This record gives sequence, C-alpha cells and structure tokens, in this order.
Amino acid sequence: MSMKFGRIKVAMVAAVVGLSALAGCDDSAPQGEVALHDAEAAEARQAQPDARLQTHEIVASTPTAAGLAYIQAVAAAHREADAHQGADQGDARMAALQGGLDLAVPSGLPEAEILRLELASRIASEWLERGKADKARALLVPMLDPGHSVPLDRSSAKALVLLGDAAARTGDDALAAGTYARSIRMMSILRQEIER
Amino acid sequence: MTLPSLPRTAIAGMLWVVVSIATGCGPTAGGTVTPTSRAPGTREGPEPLGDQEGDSVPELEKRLQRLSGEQAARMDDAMTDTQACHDLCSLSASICEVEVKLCDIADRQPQEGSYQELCREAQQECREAQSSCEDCVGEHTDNSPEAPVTQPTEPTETTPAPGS
Repeated sequence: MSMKFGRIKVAMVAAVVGLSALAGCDDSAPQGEVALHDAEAAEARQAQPDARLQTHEIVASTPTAAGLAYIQAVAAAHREADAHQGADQGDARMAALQGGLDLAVPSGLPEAEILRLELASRIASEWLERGKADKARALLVPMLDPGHSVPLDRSSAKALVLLGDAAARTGDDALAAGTYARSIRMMSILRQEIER
Repeated sequence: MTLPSLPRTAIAGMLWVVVSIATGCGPTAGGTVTPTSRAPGTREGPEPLGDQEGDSVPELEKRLQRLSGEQAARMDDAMTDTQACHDLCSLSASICEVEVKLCDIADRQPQEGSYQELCREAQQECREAQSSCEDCVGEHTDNSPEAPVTQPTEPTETTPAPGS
C-alpha cells in the first residue's frame, strides 16, 4: 500500500443490485456457532442477499506528523503480532492487533481506512481459526455495511471474503451470499483497473 | 643539370623501386589487402547498417553503457507485464474461489432466484477473470521466448484470499 498521505477521491462505483438485504441468522447453520432466537431464524430464512457495493478510491495525501505517527504505530502493532507466533500466544497476538485497531485515527488520513481493514481482517482470521465466527462477523459487519462505501482496494475484498466465511459458518446464507457477491464485484473492478 | 655517372643497371633499379612504391605493387608494399574470398563461417548477405561505432576501449565502454541501459529498460517493461499478469491471475483465482463458495450457498437455496442470479453473475465474472489471465499470459509468452513467471491457475479451495 502506498504510504503517501492523501485526500480522498470519492469515485463512487456503485454496483448496486437491487436486492433488499438483511442479514439475519439461521439456526439451521451447519456449524451452529451462534445461538439464535426463533424470530431471528425466521427473519433470516426470509432475508435476501444484499449485494450492493459502493466504493471510493483512496488517493495519496499530504503528510502530517500525526498521520505518520499513526502509520508507524499500526506497523508496530503488526510487528508485535508477528512476534507472537504459535497457538499458545494467540491472545497476545490478538491483543497487539486489537491495540492497533483501537488507535485514534488522525484527521486527514484516508489511508487509515485501509490500515484498519487490514487489522480487522487479521483479527477476523484469528477468530475464524478459533471457531469463533460470530466474533469475526460482529467485528466486520459494521465496517462493511452495504449501505456505506468501502475503499476500492484488495484489503476490502479480503475483508469481504472473511465476512462471507464468517456468515456462512454462522448459517447466515443471505449475508454470506451477498457479501461473497460484493467481494467478487470488488475484485472484478480491481481486475478491470489492471487491464486498462 | 648533369647527372652523376651511374651504371645503367643502378639507374634502372632505382626507377623500378620508385614505380613500385608509387603503385603499391611491389613485393614489399604495406597497403591494405583486399580479401578475394570469404573466410569460412562468414555470413553472406548485406553489409551491416548504421555507423561504425569503433573498437577502441572508450568506444566499447560507451557502447556497453548504452546497451546496458536498453537492457534495463526492456527488463523494466517485462517485469511490469509480468506483475500485471501475476495480479490478474491472482485476482482470477480468488474470484473463482469465492464463486465456488457463493454457488454452494445458492445450491442450498434452489427456490430463491436472487441466490441463483448471484451465482450466475459470479460464474460469469470467474470466466472473464480466467480469460483475462490466460490472455495476459499468452500475450506475454508470445512476446518473450522465455516462459512467463505466472501461469493461469485453476481455482482451488486453498487459494489464498485476495490481498494475502
């Protein structure tokens, strides 16, 4: 990722599939990691995938001292997480990543959106590996709301795939299908950009 | 003017030497020898084009510098192409991997048209992505005698997620 700072150029690429969406949960989940109430399960059964995708481009910006400090702190969090190898150090690894995610984002640093998605993806991957798909899902859902724009970047595509995996493991087919479809659209846009 | 008295044979000898040097035909003449036949292995065909660059050390150094620059530029272009192909094929593999997951879910919802539509769209995206990967690799192979670094890959369950 470019470490230059930048203003955000919001080039909205709206690949909107007009499907109403609501992610619910389904107690017929194959792995049943989330206990659901009957009402929620009924809602999930009726839910339709929401494959709306709005994207914006992250453009390099003017450097600031606060922005540079933030980027260095995030890099330090990744390094610390990398230093804690092995299953027995999972909690320390997670704490380091969570510390990075909890950092206050300075103003005028659009790149922070991508950095936060990368941190969230690492945390979500850890949760999925531990069989805690519900936690991965809870982390990623607010960051990837179909009603909001997401950065046009591979980090977004990866986070969407992870959210789809988490939704599939919690038995939420609507959320899984919609999120997988969004990730495919994101990757298709990225592919077309390379081909230009 | 009076010529010194020399024997006739000496005068004749001196004249022969002078004429020989002037025409370059004497037995000791040092002029350029024009080859009358090609040496073994010499290429037939037109003469080389362009300016004679010279064979002196400074000229060779200058030529080496120029060719090194050209080689570096061509390598840069090739690496850019290779990276683009790698990115396209990586995205293609990821798209097709996710397409499989999406269509598995759609298979569980056979009555739901929206799921089937998303699956069809994903299959189309997968085909297009694979095609662009193959085209890129094919083009790269056509332009270079050496095999490309990246080859199109079939989607697999173990393919890393995008961005990894």
